[in-house]
Amino acid sequence: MLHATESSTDIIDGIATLPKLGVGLSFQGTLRDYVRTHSYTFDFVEIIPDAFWNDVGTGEKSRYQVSEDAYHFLAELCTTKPIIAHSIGLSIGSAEQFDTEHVAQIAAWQQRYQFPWHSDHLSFNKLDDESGHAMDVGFTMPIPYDEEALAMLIERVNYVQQTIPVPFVLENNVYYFSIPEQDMSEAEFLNRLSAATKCGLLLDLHNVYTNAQNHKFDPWEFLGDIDLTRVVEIHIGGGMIVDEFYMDAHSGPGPDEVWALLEAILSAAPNVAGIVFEVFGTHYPLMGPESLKGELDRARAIWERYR
Amino acid sequence: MSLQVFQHVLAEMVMSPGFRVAVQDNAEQALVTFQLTSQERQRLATIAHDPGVKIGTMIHRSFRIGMFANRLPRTCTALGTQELQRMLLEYWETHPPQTLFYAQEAARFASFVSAQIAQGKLYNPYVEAVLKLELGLIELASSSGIPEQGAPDIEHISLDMSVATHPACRVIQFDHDPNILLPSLNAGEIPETVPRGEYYILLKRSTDGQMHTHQISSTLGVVLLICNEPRTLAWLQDYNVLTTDNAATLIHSGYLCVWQHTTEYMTSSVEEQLVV
Repeated sequence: MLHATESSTDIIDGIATLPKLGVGLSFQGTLRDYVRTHSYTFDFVEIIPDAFWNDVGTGEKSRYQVSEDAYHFLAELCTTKPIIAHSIGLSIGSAEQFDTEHVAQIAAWQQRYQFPWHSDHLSFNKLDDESGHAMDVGFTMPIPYDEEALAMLIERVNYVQQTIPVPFVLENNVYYFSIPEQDMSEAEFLNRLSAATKCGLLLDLHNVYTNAQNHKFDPWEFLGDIDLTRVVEIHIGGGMIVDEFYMDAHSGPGPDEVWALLEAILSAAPNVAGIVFEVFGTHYPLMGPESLKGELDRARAIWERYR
Repeated sequence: MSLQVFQHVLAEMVMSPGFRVAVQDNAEQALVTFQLTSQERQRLATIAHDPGVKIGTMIHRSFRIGMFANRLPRTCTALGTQELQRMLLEYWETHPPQTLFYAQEAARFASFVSAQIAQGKLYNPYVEAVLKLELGLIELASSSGIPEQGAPDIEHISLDMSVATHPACRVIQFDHDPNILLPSLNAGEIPETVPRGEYYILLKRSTDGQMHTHQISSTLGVVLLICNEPRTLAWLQDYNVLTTDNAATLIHSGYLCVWQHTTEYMTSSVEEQLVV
């Protein structure tokens, strides 16, 4: 049975006062027309800010290059809907580097677009190669749920929150291989990180479902161990089976069990400010606007039952 | 902090299946040079046997391929499946992933393909020109501050004036008819036969950011390729490339632009150097 762990008021205050935005859409380029013609189906837009700039590399002058078209689009968008930022570029779990320039860029965009909160992934994807060049694995690699990693992340999350004046929210990772003999469970790691820093959690229910499918655990049991008062945002989406693995492919409608998890979470998580449906741009043409609308409508029905 | 080393080795197992197999077969030997704790060694030895690592490799490679396919689709088609696979395997071994950004990764792969052609490792009748076309599109799309095309009134043209192909233009020479080649590649197919000849395609970015592609005459194509480097009108006249009257016409049409005559070759940005 899911429950909310009691936390002291001063820890949850920043999260508890966030505006309850409702149902959001994760923006991808192929969704431009949908955003214009179906704005009534969502309350806010989650952008991946990294998709709007060309990053020429750490230390470069004018590192982040943004096209005029991108600025125009976002300027128009934020006059119609609230925008929140869900970045992929921080790589907060990278042990050898911490990209303070990226944090500064997000801070600048928060000032420009007034995100009420922003998020990134609890994982790593960036390292330096032998010659010192930045290297990117291209997907979210798992970090060990150990005391050493926790200490490192607490320091970094505190830095982010001191630099960007709105709540920072971290997403639970999807992982296709697991690290054995870790100091603590994923749930304990998330709870302790959030408690120590007051950051929020972006609970990606499709990630939980995917991990449960691949690593054979009970997603309900996992969620029962999460401090749900820390959950600010929820992601939902769909996947597919490839080579006997269930993939978090953002490929279409969410599985029924993910919807069931959503309903249970919303009934027990008092500080959820938004639900976001994710579909990759390459899959949207196959999904189509009616199916996407259906997913957003389904999320709204659940939202309105509990908010 | 050995977590750094651990992450490097973990990433290497994902990016390099050969290394993962080496760790699988003999972790002690494969990991001997890395400064790891015994717990980290044991973890990596276990992970090497995890079937999920192959999924990581697949995602990693799919992402990298996606960047090429997105920005170099015709080149990937022109290479053909077998050749593309061969080149990707070699590229992945020699070019670790440096960026999440499509344009940069596509440019790196394009350089690799160009080097393969120059080294005689790749013979393909279409790839070189198609690659230049797609690189030209990438360069034009990512460029900013391109000055207005066409010229204000120029009181006089002097022979010591330098001109260059306008930075909003790229010219690509094709040895095979692009009117047959490109539509076929756009449809994801290599055409069976394409007539040979001398063809020139002009890529032009208008001030509203729109990209235009059309065939131009050989005469104009040759002139614009020659003027990829700034040339004085005197030089162009002496070598029978262009008369001053024709140069004025091409400047007004937005194909050429006038350069501030200087003995310093392109020491500052294009925008600063351009007069019109």
